Amino acid sequence: MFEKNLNQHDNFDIDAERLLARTFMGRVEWEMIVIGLGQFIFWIGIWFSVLSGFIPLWAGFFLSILSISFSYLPSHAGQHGHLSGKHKSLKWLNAVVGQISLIPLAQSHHILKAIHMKHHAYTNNPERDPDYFHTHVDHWWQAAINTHGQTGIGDPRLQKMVEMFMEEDEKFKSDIERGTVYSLIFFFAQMITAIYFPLETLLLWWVPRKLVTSYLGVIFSHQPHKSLPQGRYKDTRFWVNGIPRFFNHSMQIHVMHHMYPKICHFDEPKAIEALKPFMIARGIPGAEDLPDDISYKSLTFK
Amino acid sequence: MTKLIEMITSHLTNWGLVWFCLIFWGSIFNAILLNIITFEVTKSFYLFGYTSGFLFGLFAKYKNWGWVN
Repeated sequence: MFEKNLNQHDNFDIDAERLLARTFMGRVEWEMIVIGLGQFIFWIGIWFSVLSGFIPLWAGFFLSILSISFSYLPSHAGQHGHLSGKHKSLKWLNAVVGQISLIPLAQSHHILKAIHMKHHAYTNNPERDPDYFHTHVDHWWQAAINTHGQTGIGDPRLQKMVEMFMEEDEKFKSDIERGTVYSLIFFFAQMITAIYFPLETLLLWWVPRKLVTSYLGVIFSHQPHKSLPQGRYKDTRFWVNGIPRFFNHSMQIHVMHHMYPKICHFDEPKAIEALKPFMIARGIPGAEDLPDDISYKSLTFK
Repeated sequence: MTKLIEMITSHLTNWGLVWFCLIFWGSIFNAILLNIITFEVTKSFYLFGYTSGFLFGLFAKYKNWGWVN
């Protein structure tokens, strides 16, 4: 398959790359809609089960961690318009499903979207990439801690960056202001819930979402981007950690997302198989070690 | 409505962490204490958890610990 692709695109020009990439764009990523709404319903079910005494709190705690670890990606898909695909009439799905999915993480879809778009625009730029402070650190545990600067009152360096973007980008400012309303709702909701169900709020919501935020910082930001320079084909790497791709939310192949953010998460393996010759030709870190077929088990070891 | 949200946001930017710790962590500290102690307590004992939450909030504000909320 690799040889065949090489022959098909022997000049590797950007137009040929874009033409091929476009064949993987535009569909409604229904899998993310199912995961986004499904994990939220499951999480509510955990609360109901614990409060009614059907399962013990400690079991609910572990189930919540598992469930909440699925809450970010559907919002991420919504941030890039994957939930509506090429259908303009379905655009509302991106924000609605994205926000519902983020309830267990107590985060605003609009704020995360505004910040994430800047990450794509300025990946690995120390002055303008909002993810820089938890990505470019020496150890994974530093990423796990620093990523919490993106929530709550936040890292002062990030706050300064956000203020800068708000001054120069009206769309960014509008998204932050819109998202602030949701952040306030989550702020009060957690306090009110804690008054009535203190230990449940701690172990089914606060601790799981903190652990998952650390996980996201390490797997989604630090591993794919750490120590890499700026540049379309240089800022993200293929990586392995000995755990099957499924359990890392496929972030080993995050490089595909940075090349073409409009390609749906679940279509990335096929897109990589097709675009592999271009990736090698562009010198993308780790591209030469890619297997020809990207399965859930592949990329576990080089 | 926008003005009201601006006022709340402005206040919470400075004091949100303390409010959060007072109510959220205060409730949790209370619940933990009530689970640990075996003897009967008076109603004023509940103040202990919320006072701890409030002090934790002041300390968190001083240390700029955004992670507590």
